[in-house]
Order: sequence, then structure tokens, then C-alpha cells
Amino acid sequence: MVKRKRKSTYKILTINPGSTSTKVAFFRNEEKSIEKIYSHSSEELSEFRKIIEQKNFRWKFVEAFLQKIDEPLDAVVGRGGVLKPLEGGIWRINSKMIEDIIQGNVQADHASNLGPVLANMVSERLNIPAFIVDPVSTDELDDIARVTGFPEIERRSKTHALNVKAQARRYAREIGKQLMELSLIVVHIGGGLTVNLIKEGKIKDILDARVDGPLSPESAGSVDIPQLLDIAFSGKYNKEELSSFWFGKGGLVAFLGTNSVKNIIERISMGDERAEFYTKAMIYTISKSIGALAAAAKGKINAIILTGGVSFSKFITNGIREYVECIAPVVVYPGSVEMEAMAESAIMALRGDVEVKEYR
Amino acid sequence: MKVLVINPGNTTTKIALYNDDKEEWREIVEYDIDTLKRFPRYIDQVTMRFENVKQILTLHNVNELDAVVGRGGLFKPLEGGVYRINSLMINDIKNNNMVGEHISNIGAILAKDTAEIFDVPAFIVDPVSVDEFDDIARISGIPEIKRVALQHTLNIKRTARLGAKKLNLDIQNTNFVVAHLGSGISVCPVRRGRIVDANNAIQEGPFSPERAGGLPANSLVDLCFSGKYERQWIKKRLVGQGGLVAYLGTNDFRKVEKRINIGDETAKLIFDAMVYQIGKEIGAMATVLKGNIDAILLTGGLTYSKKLIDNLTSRISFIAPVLVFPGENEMEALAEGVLRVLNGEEKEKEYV
Repeated sequence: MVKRKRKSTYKILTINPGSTSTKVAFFRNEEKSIEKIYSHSSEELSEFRKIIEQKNFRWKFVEAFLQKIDEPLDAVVGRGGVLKPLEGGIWRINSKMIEDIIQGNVQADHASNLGPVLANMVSERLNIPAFIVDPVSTDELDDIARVTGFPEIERRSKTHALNVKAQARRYAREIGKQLMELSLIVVHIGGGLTVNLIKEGKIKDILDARVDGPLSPESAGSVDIPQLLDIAFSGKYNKEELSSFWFGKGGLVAFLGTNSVKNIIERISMGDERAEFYTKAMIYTISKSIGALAAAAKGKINAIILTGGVSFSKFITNGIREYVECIAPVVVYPGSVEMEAMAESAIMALRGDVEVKEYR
Repeated sequence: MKVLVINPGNTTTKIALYNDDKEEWREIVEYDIDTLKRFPRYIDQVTMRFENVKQILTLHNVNELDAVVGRGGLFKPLEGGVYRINSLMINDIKNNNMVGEHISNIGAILAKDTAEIFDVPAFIVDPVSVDEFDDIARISGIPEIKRVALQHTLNIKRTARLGAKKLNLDIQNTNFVVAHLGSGISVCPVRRGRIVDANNAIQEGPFSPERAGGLPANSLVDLCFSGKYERQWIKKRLVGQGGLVAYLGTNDFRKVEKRINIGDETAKLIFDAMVYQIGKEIGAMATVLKGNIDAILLTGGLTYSKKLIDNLTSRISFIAPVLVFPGENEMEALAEGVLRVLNGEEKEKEYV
């Protein structure tokens, strides 16, 4: 790797396509100077069958944002998508990655897959390097964590790696340690819900509400498998309908009619016992998942970090704390720092402090 | 006090006579699978099995008893305890008003029929379907899939009692995580003697020698809709032909250990993964008790394996001290339950 000349100020563009918005931000070093969130209505998006088809629609917003920036950019970072299983870290966006996304050689049709595509368009126009960081398909599971009791099915990892790793690094910084020497359980509670075990800087095991973890505001988590088999063959649901219990229609929304935790917490404060009961059931399953991963690490856990948008709710974070503070101190970092995490990693790469990985 | 214990299993009926807590004798009647195939339903085996019970009683010259106890089956959800077998219970079994088909369902009929010969009371103790779950533990993320309380109740409750005794505590003042590790695996938080959660007798949680345990849900959904697999095939691979059997072709733990000892890496990975999952489930259930745990109690047939105990203990000893009570001990548990009632230490419950 050619060592670049260190600059005093790096200027970074970050692009984060979510399911109903495109976030774009401009950073001067780690400092976010402009951020825009372009919201997209479901009507606007309904004309696209596949997410990749939204490329030109979303590009208009990125282009509009670029016009506000009158300083030369050093790099662009796109939110890393649900690509094939990859190690965490920072990856250069290359033509192979873009090809794989366009040809659907990915694990899911997910809005974040537009991240590399849009970043690549910026890169081509401005002739600057483009990266992704800790993609959703980050898969660093221990071999032992991949085994299920059913040989045809393997456990895999798709996770909020970007925010989870950034919050883990933040905790390490705050206590003056290296992430490599810590074992942490990081719970991201937002639209999705993942419970992550981080050891030696890697996500070694994970419980995911969309797979086999706790129930979440909109995903079912783990269920009784023989009962699921019966339902699958009952003829009552087709595959998409049944799968939707893990993608938008299971968990709290199935019981309470909404996936908005803000709304649910309001109902609880107004005395809605049903809302309280099911939210407590979610807290219970999250706590059990934390306990499970603590045992996976033989109890050697330095801290439990609660993050993501839902972690703004004290009802939820205090509820979890009560169950799990016997394991390790509980730290709450509400919200997500995805944009910051992307910029921070790009700057580390430009400074030559981390190795940039080559997608093949 | 003389208590006769009748425990019908899939291919055997175990019969034992206890004089107080001392086992006088134990007989195992074995049935070959071809004979059993002739009976479409378990309940059709009652006459044959009852005849064998009577033969054993004659063989041992039994002419007086104080009570008979049968293994309890998959009744509707019940509190744990000792239930006197009444006609309502028998009718529920005969009319299949049960939560599932299982050979243990006929335990109560065999016990009742035998008790009538001696004109003594008949009981069941802590059936599999004991349901003492906290309400919060019943919720899964899909409203029509309830988390069901099914576990190795008999051995788990007995082990909790033994644990309390060993620690010199009143069971009412104890919190345990009890893991029954056998061909199936149940991991339960037991709060003051009550089983407040369970991995649904392995329909979630760790895989076991014969069962697949919890799985990534959407992978299973994909598999079901792929058209590549028959429902029956999948079902067998979930229960009976899953777990160790599916990977290693055997449910015999000793054989698996031998293979590990001669360097079989697949056997080692699968064994380690199973222990890893058991550890995770124990960690999850410890959280239910908010970490206030007097001990983790391990029981069941697999706990004779030192390799398993050592490996598992290294994962979970941070939670609480680990105590091991090897074996399944169903016969003892059944006899002891009835003796507690006959001695007035515990009240019998009425099946309603």
C-alpha cells in the first residue's frame, strides 16, 4: 500500500440509503458539517419492484447534495449492504462489488445495497476513492456458533455491524482501552434488533430478531420450530406471508398494531396494560439473549452496551438493565452513529491507520 | 409404605416396587417394534401392557400395596405436584383431550387399573405438561405460536429438591437453573420450586443427541417451501433424527466421545457446538432469574460424561456453582412424590 501524505483535514461524503430515506452527510474530519435526510414516501417507492431499480431516483438526491459542497472531497463512503458474507472493516468499492449488487449476487434485496452503488457514482464523477465500512453482511462468527442441530441449516450473521462496532470503539475510547482487549455485548435496538458478542474486535456470535433472537418491534425472533413447521405446511400462508413475520409483521406490531416504540411507550404511560405487557415480553427476550451471549463468552464481559433509536426509551433500557446488570455494567448510547462511523473509518483509511480490504 | 411405579416408555414398560424410598425390585418389559406397529394408537396398547404388569406382580408375589403411581402424560396445562387419578383424567386420556400423543399418556390408565385390583389410590406426579410459566414467558413474536410449557418436569422438580437439600435450603427460598440433559434437553429457571420458563422441551434452544433445537426461522421457512423436502422428513430431522444423529449417525454419547478421542474433528466440532448451545441456554435462563441463583443443577443421562460436564462448567460457572445429579431417575421421582403425599408432607392435587 502506498502511504499517502497525511493531510490535516480530510473531507468525506457519506451516503446511507435506508428503506424510506436517503441520508447524505459532509464531514470535515470527524466533524459532521452538513447532513440532509431525504425522505421517500411509499408511493414514490412503490413503482420500483426491486431496490436496485431505485438507483437513479436516489441519485438525484445525492446529486442535489453534492451541489451544496464547494470543497473538494477526499473520499466517499456508502453504507455497506447485505452483500455476500464479509469480514468487518473497510472495503474499497470496486467494479466486482458493483457487479455483484447489480446482478443480485447478494444475500437480500435491501436498501443498504444502494450504498456502494451511489458511492461508486460519486467516486466516478469526482475521481475519489470510495469505500464501504462494516457492511450489514459482516460475518465473523466463530465456527462453533454456525452449527445448528439441522445440518442443512447454518447460522449466519447479518447485523448492524456499522453502528455496533462504532459504539464498541466509543466505549473502548471512553474507558481508555483498546477494543481488541475487551469483550462486549452490544444490543442494537432500532427497526431491527441484534444482540452482538464482540471479542477481539470481531462479532463472534449474534442473536437477531429476524432470525433466531429476541422478538423486536417488527420481527418475531425465535419461535417453536415444530409449530412453525406445521404452520408452513398448513396451506394458510404462502412463503412471503410467513416470512413477513420476521420482516415487518411479527413481534410487537403483531400484538399492538404498531411498530413505533415511541407510540407504544406513550400508550404505556397512559396506562395501556396490553402495551406494557408485550413490551415487557420484548425486554424479557432481549435480556435472555444477552444472558445467552454472556455464557458464550464464559461470562467474561466488560460491558453491555444498549444502542439504536429505541434505546432512547428509559422504560426499555431500565427494563433490560434490571435483568442483566448482574452480568456486567450496562451502558446506554442511544441512537445510531452510522454516518460518523463511516466518516471515521474512511479517515483512518486515508491516514493509513487501517488496512483497506479488497473485495473479490 | 409400598408404592408400585409404572412407567410406560416407547418400547418398554418399567415397573418397580418401592418400600418407602427403597427400591425392592425393578422389571423392564420390552416390546419389539413390529409388535407395537400393530397398534394404531398408544391407547390400544393398554390391554397388552396391563397384562404384563399383572404377570410381573404375580412373579413377585405382590399382594398388598399402599398406592400405585403412573408416569403422567401430555395433559392439559397443570401445576406441578401429585395428582390423584380420577375418572375425569381417564376420560381425558381416552377421549384424547390431551395436548399431544405420547406413550406416557397411558401411564395413568395402567396405574388406575392396577390400583383397582388392590383397592388403593392411584396417582401421577409432575407430568410433562406441567405449566408454571410466568405469563411473560408465553409470548413468541408470532401470536399464533405460543411458547408451550413442556419439559422433563419429573426429573427437573426432583433435581431442584435434591439441590435444595444439598445446599441445606428450603426449596421455597431457592432459585436454580436446572438443565436436564438426555436424548432431549430441557433448560429451566426454577424459582422457589416453580418452573417459570423452559426451552419448550427443545423446540427452541440447544440441539440434543436426537433433536434439532432452535433454528434460524427463515431458513426453515425457505426449506419448507423449497419443494425439495417432505414434511415428514423435516419433522423427523427436527425430532428423533436431528442433532448429533443427523451429523454423526449416532445418538450414543459414548461413541461420540470415543470418536473425539481418536481425533475425529467433525465429532469434536458438533460436540463443542452442542455444549456451546447448552451453555447459551443456561445463560439465557439465568437472566430470567436476574442472576440471583443459588446453583446450576445438571441432570439427565448425558451428565455421566465428564467431558460434557467439564466443558459446560467452564462456560457457566461464572453464573453460580454447578452441581451434578446424574441420571434420569424417573422411577425414584414418581415413588418419592407419592410417598410425600402418603406421609402427609405434601397435599395431593385434584385433576379438574
